[in-house]
Amino acid sequence: MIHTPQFPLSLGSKTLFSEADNTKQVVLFHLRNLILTNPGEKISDPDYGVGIRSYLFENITRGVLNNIAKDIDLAIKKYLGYIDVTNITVASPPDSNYVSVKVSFEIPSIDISDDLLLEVSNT
Amino acid sequence: MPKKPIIKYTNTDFDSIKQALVEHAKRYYPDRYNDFNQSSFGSMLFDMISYVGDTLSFYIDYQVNESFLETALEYTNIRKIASQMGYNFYGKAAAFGTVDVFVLVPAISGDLGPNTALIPVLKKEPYLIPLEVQVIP
Repeated sequence: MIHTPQFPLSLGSKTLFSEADNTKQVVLFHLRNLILTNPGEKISDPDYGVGIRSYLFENITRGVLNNIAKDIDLAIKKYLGYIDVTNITVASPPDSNYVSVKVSFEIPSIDISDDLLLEVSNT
Repeated sequence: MPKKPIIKYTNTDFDSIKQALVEHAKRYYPDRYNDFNQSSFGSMLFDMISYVGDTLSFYIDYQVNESFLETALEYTNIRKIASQMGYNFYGKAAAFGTVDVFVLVPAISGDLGPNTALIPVLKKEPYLIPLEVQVIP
């Protein structure tokens, strides 16, 4: 069982801050942090993070979307080695100001599989 | 009576402070917190606390260095330490300018011109004291 505060922080009944309910919630939190963090943002490791927001002002082409997927895959392999990624889908509908990311993953050792859905925009 | 946790006072930089904090949490709070992944919320807190610790250590070192003439870097601190040792520092002048100096050269008695015996002396600084201006017959 993973003991960690749930984010955003809220007062708990047993502990000072309420804890994450289950492992899946913690894994999703890890993934979200990794994708949304810009490289250089984390003090202890300047390479940490995908920095997906840096792509927002690119001309969205198939190649750029592939690069985002590749960056996410590499970052997960490096920093979240305990999860197996089964599929990464990155899309940006025409004339829209956002990129949607879907990461499908599983953790065979504890029999967990889920999808992370993210929509990243400049707002 | 329970012992107080041991604090390592030799940890003064970011990495060693973070390492000590992680070890402390692992040892004393295994049933409260055990998510030590780089992506965890706790990792961010460890980073921020270590950052503050590193900053404080830096300024303590800096202040100590500024207390000694050998290691001080800041101009005002060096001046103050020197002042304690008896060095009188007058600082920069409030204003400056050029000064023209004029000398009255007496005329030779019984003649119309100046006393030419003084010309070699006056010519030592000809640009400061133009002879033709200075000489009053």
